[in-house]
Amino acid sequence: MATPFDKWIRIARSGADAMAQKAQSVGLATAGSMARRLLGQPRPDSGWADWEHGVTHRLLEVLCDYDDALPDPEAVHAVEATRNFVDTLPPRRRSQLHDLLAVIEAGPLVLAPDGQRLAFTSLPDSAAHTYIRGWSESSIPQRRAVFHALKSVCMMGYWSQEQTWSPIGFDPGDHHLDDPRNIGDDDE
Amino acid sequence: MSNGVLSARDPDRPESIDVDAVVVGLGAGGSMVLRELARAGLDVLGLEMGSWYRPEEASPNEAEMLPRLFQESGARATEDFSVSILQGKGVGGSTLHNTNLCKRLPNAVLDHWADRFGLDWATGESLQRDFETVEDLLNVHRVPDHRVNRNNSIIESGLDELGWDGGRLKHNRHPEACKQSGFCELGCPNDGKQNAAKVLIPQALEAGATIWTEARADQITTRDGRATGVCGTSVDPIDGSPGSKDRDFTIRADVVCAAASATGSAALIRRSDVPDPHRLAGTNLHMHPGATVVGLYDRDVESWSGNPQSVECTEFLDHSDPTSGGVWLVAGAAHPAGASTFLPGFGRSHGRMMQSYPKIASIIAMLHDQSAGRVHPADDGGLHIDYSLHEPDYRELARGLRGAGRILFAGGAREVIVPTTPALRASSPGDLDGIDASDLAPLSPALAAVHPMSTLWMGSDPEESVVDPRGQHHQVDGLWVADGSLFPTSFGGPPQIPIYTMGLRVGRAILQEYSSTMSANR
Ligand SMILES: Cc1cc2nc3c(=O)[nH]c(=O)nc-3n(C[C@H](O)[C@H](O)[C@H](O)COP(=O)(O)OP(=O)(O)OC[C@H]3O[C@@H](n4cnc5c(N)ncnc54)[C@H](O)[C@@H]3O)c2cc1C
Ligand code: SF4
Repeated sequence: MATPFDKWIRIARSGADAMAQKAQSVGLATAGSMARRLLGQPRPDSGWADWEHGVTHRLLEVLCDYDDALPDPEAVHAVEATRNFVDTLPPRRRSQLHDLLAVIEAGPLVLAPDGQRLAFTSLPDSAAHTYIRGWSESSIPQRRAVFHALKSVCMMGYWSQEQTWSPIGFDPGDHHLDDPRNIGDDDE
Repeated sequence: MSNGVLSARDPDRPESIDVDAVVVGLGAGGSMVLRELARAGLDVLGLEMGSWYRPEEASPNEAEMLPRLFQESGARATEDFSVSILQGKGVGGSTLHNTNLCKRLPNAVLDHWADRFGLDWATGESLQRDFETVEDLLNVHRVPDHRVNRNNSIIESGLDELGWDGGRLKHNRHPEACKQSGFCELGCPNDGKQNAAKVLIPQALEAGATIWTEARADQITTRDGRATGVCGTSVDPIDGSPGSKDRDFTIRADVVCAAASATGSAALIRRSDVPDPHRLAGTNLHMHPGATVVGLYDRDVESWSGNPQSVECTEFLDHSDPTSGGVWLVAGAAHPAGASTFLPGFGRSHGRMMQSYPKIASIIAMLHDQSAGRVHPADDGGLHIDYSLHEPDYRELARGLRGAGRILFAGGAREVIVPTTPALRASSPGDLDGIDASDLAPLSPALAAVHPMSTLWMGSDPEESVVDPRGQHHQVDGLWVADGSLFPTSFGGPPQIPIYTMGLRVGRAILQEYSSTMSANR
């Protein structure tokens, strides 16, 4: 009886998934360079261009548009923390993140959220929210993927800042040696 | 650093050396092989691309610890970003940050491996004895009542209420050193884990093993169908790539053991142009991808506090049909940045969910996946991963999401959030009934996988497997594999004990083969 195992061996032999993989990775790099062309911005030689910093800043403003009980991203230096985190990624992953920033900045020039054909960082608040919601709830998986990847790094930047912890009731305790919460030894 | 441990970035490190054996990757499998070979008196070198982690360096901050302990800072993902893949780096590998659950391979899975892949040993007594040896070595024991945190008690009482299969798990934490800080996935600050780094590596070093950290193997060298060593380079332990001052190395060895995980070993072997007439290496990737379902409670749960995982639900796992898959449910605790990623949406509604953080319990529905992906080496020394779920796995995932929601309700949740697009906010168990495979697609929900496996699997038929039933490559003598790659299929449970045990068995097989080759050459 043929098992799923036999099926994938056939697929693997055909090499079809290797081609799909190539198309996919070329896809993001191409989208990134098209977006930069639309924006009239070259790819920075290394590090961060000012406009990329601006996109990260605006993204954090929209993603972390929380109510007053939670700190403002600016107040907790979330942009710097996000950048620092992205800079720890391997070069290929880092470059994908920069491509995603270009794509999200140039997207409204094509998608015109609330009828506004402006770069993301120039959109007024409500159009910026509509625009980001469009990515997060899109029926197209690739668009949800862009949202998910950018949300993950921005959340790392914001929620890793200790000032954001007590407003949500998170207390790591004294998590080092001899934590007072030692509540007894195992008897097995 | 300890005696016998050298950073490959050290200017005094030699360009090339000769050893009896080189082990690439020092996680669960590699550390065990290193220990076995060193204790038998071989001159053995372990290469590890990450660094040497000391508990005193631990921090509760995710942005600090992920870059140090996780491959690609925890941002490794499939090419389409639909599955995040969390894997470790550093001496100890993924056992540095894993959550210590311990379980043997299910008998039905072992029967299937024996029948379908010719792994005769899978059904024998010797494997069970080896499990026992490993469990003794790592102090594996049932999680006692006083170490079950509130997230897990909710699951336990939900299972009781529903009458579903599951229960308490075993773990390998030290009964005294573990202080219940709950930071397991960021590396233990208290040296409370009886893991590869704490138990096996010191014994290997004591027996004379040498370790190079920040040393990435890039190529396995072969001549006339025999492994002859490894070439590589020193790397930055954070981003994993070589900088301008990094230098190449060449290791000549009679035995090469790839233990760089199911992704790392597959990429290394494919990059090395090891003969692969049936183009199998790197295919068959399984990884137990999972999605997190959240319950909101009226009382404090503080799921971050205490042992993160101690209870399982096996109601949706049926190993009697090896092709039917299923889903395994366990607690899904995370610290704030991790939790903010699996809580859906952004802005005000997301902020309100984060403000409920102390009152949430969560469950991960992890697939015993029948879908299979593929690992490719990348030009920059890293790797790419392709993986997509097929329809039967989506059906199982839907079943798992519904089941997780029901357990959370049975444990007292007032609301359950299922991270589909758009997210489902259920206020009663009946609201979950509508979730089916047609609601699910890539990134709906986003998945995370912590158990990559099966890319260089064992089998007796060289046309249908990459390594033989002992772990030696079918095409290259002296090339062995000892990590999660070895499992022919997924199995829907925690893999570390099976991987440690494979390390023990592969180590023993290497010694047997090595001594017979040596005596034949004399
Ligand atoms: C968050 C999390 C929680 C988990 N919880 C559990 C649990 O509770 N129970 C359980 O059973 N399992 C758990 N696991 C999984 C378990 O830890 C792994 O399955 C297991 O450690 C894998 O062992 P391995 O030997 O295959 O690879 P790893 O342990 O991943 O080790 C591979 C090592 O190889 C190194 N490496 C890779 N490429 C190279 C190269 N080219 N050169 C040199 N070095 C290289 C890596 O840096 C790494 O250190 C968890 C995993 C994660 C991520
Ligand atoms: S609960 Fe804390 S002390 Fe115990 S093993 Fe996990 S990180 Fe270490």
